[in-house]
Amino acid sequence: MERGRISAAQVAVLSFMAVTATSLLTAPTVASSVAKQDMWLSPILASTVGFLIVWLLVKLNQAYPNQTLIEYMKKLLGRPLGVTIGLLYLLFIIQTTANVLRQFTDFIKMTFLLTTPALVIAGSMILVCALIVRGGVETVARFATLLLPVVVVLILMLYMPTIKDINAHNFEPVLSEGMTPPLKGAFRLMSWVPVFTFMNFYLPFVSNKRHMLGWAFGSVAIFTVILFVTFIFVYAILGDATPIYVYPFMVLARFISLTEFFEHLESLVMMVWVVEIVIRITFGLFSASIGLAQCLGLPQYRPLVLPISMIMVLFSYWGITNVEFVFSPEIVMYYLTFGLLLPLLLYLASLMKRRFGKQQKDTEEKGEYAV
Amino acid sequence: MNHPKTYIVVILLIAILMLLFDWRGLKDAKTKAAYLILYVPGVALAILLVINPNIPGPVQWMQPLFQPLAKMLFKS
Repeated sequence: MERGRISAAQVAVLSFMAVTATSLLTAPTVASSVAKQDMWLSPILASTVGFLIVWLLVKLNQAYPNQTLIEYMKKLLGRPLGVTIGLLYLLFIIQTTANVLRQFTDFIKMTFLLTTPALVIAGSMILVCALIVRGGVETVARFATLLLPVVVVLILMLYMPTIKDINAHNFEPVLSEGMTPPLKGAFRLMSWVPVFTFMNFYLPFVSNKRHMLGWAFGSVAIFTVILFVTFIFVYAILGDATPIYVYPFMVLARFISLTEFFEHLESLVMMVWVVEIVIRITFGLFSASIGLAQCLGLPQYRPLVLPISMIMVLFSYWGITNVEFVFSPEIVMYYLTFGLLLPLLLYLASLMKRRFGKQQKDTEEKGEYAV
Repeated sequence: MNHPKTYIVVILLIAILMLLFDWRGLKDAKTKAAYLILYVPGVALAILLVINPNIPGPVQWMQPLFQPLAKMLFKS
């Protein structure tokens, strides 16, 4: 179906950039609304779940090297149950990606293109992503690597001028209410971390599988560091006011005025955001297309890309009045069910199957020896 | 949505262009069936959403489904 080969490092870069995409702008608001001055601890706590997810996926991939989650789910759970849960899982992928698309459309509509119809913004975005996905897995993975320097340079350009405004007193008192607020903040961050599960659709195409676990852990670690630094900067500068703003990162950029020469840096935020969102949507769109093709047993996934992207645009509007619902506890549970619980159950099933199979083999061998 | 008729025309135009773009790539019957199963409800839903943007969607069905789980976790 797909003959492309990518490296472990490319998968790592792709997945951490995709997960960082929406969290960079909106996570500070979400985390600070519950964790207040201790929000810098939340990404570190949340990263444990990320490490667990990635470890499960790599272990599953080692057990079934050339298969995606959909394929080995069909093998482990049997065909009817596997296809049913597979379709639900694909619905989850499409829906999370659609939520990201809606966040992007709202952001652009609220801050930059005020009178453009939302359909045009969402449509042009998804068209670019669909063309990238039709290029195959190599295009998807290398596109992220290609744009990594751009994103890093632009983000550093936003951080560096704000260093002089940091006020570390904003973090006092440290842990005044115990560990509960940072834990709650970490729970809210779970609307991003489960996106790491989409990685399983890329793992079969990795050529140097020996280094995969290290790179996957590195991917989660870099995500944690980026989120940690962002939280530190945002809260050190905005302080208690962080939960008020929808896009604190944007406020930070408007704040910058370096020697009256560097001003209006919010256009840089938009550049970073657009690039990151393209990567995030291609990450989800490729997963959904190849997953659906494998789930239904089709010979190729490329024809499915455009209809799925159309459905993503529709899902980003169907029954959604505003995008704030993404951060409600119910949706976080939905994300965790498919992002963490499903790989965990599959891993347990594969362990049981392997053990059971071995025992059977052992008894057979013993029987042979006895004869 | 201010001009439903314009939107419907634009959506139909996009749908026709999409079909023209993809149709030659659909070789076997199975892929054709899968494509149409995604395509036909998609276009129908797009037109329905233009006529009435407030149709309840999957989010509304999902929230009651996961509410007990979320409540359980937050109480403990």
